[in-house]
Amino acid sequence: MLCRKCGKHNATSHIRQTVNGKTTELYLCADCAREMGFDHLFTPTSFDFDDLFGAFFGNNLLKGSTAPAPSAKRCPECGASFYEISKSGRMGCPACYRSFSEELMPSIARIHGATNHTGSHPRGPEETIEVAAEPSPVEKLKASLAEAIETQNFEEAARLRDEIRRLEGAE
Amino acid sequence: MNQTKWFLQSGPDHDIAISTRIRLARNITDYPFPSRMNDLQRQELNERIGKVLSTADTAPLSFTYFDMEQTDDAVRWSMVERHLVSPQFARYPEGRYLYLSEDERVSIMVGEEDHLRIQVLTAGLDPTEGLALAQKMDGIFDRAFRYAFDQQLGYLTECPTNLGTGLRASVMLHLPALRRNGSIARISSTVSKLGLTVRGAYGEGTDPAGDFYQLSNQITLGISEEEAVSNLSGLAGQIILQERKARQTEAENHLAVEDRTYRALGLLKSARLMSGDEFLKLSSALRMGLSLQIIDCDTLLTALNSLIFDVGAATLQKGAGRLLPEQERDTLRAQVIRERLESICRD
Repeated sequence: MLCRKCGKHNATSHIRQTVNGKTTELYLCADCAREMGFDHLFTPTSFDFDDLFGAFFGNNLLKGSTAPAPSAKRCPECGASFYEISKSGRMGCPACYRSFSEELMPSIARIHGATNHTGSHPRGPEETIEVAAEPSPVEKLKASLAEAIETQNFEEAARLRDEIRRLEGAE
Repeated sequence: MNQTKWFLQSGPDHDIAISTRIRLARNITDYPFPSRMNDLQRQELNERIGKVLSTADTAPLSFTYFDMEQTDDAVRWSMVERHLVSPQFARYPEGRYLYLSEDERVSIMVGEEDHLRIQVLTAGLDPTEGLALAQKMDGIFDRAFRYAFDQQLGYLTECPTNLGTGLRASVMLHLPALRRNGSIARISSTVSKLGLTVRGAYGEGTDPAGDFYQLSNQITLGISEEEAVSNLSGLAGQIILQERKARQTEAENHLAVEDRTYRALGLLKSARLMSGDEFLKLSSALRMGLSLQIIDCDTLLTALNSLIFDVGAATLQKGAGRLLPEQERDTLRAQVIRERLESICRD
């Protein structure tokens, strides 16, 4: 029998699981079984097979699902778990894209065939500063300077101060 | 500018391209996406959007506000028939709000799948004009809010299928000859390789009522707004060209096409009961005869274009001000069609 997940290799593991009185059976090859976290006999899993395979991001939920279980990971901003997202195909909040970047990128690449935006950018309200912009080198140095002063590393602080002066003078 | 409804105007290639729709999906950083918003957040978001819109210079457009929950069933579903809101938006009206321009060209949906959905409809094949207007409206909100945006992923949307530009551009095409010569499947597979999709506009399956199809872009990430719109225009243009060729081939049997055209006109002008499906079917045959100039009457074509949006079940009930049983609906539909066609192009 071929593996039910990849359909390529011979199934070597027969997994039978009963969740809430509902029994599901899976025949998997060694690689897929490991990917799904069934490499240890007693690894508890909270996956619902039907949801898993029907889900939009199902495949990526499975891939690289070594500990910690992705279903347990939550977005610190809105509290959405990756399990909820993969089940509904909807993000909880804009920050979810950052929180689950690793899990989402393969799906995004598959949907669009690309992972980089090339369209227009918002200008944003006049009084606000571009949020996503990288801090400038000088800003980074100033942050390090503050840290150096805080930790009383004055030698480093002096070096950073000179570096900032040099950069600001060059601007 | 005139406030005539957009579908009463005739646009480029309007014998085959009925309408073009541009939609931008936008979200604001201050809130979770709509499915995780609570009632208070939804109301607050709506108030902020309403305020921006009321103080912005949107001339010549003026907007009417609808709290969808307070809006009648028939009115909501009539909006769906007229493509002003999505079916989801009408089905679950709680916490959803609409700002609709008087000419029904621009609709701004609040609390749909994204915080903001800016939609623009134009007559014929005209995505460039639609995009320009959508971007103008987008600019108004952009100045007022901080949009959820990521340097790499572009505009962040609740569903990742809209990431990037958040732009969905589609054109409704009337393709009876291509459907009859069996070309739709081939076209469908070709356009899907180019990141677009073709679907029946009314009803599911391979034989959509009235041979109306919707061509739209599927990919929104890694493609600019201008590219997406020009791809749509280019492909629609090619499909239109193929449809015209296929019509010419059919027209070689002139008598058959002529017969079909006049039969359709006869029924539309005299039937006493007309179902929605029958109307679409007959108008399909008549449209084709008009475009082949078997009957030379451009106002008739415009009338058919607007009738599509005027004789939907919910739109008729909205006009009647009450729920109508099926037969009454079909009677009213037949009457509206007769009256509309009577006054034009008497031969």
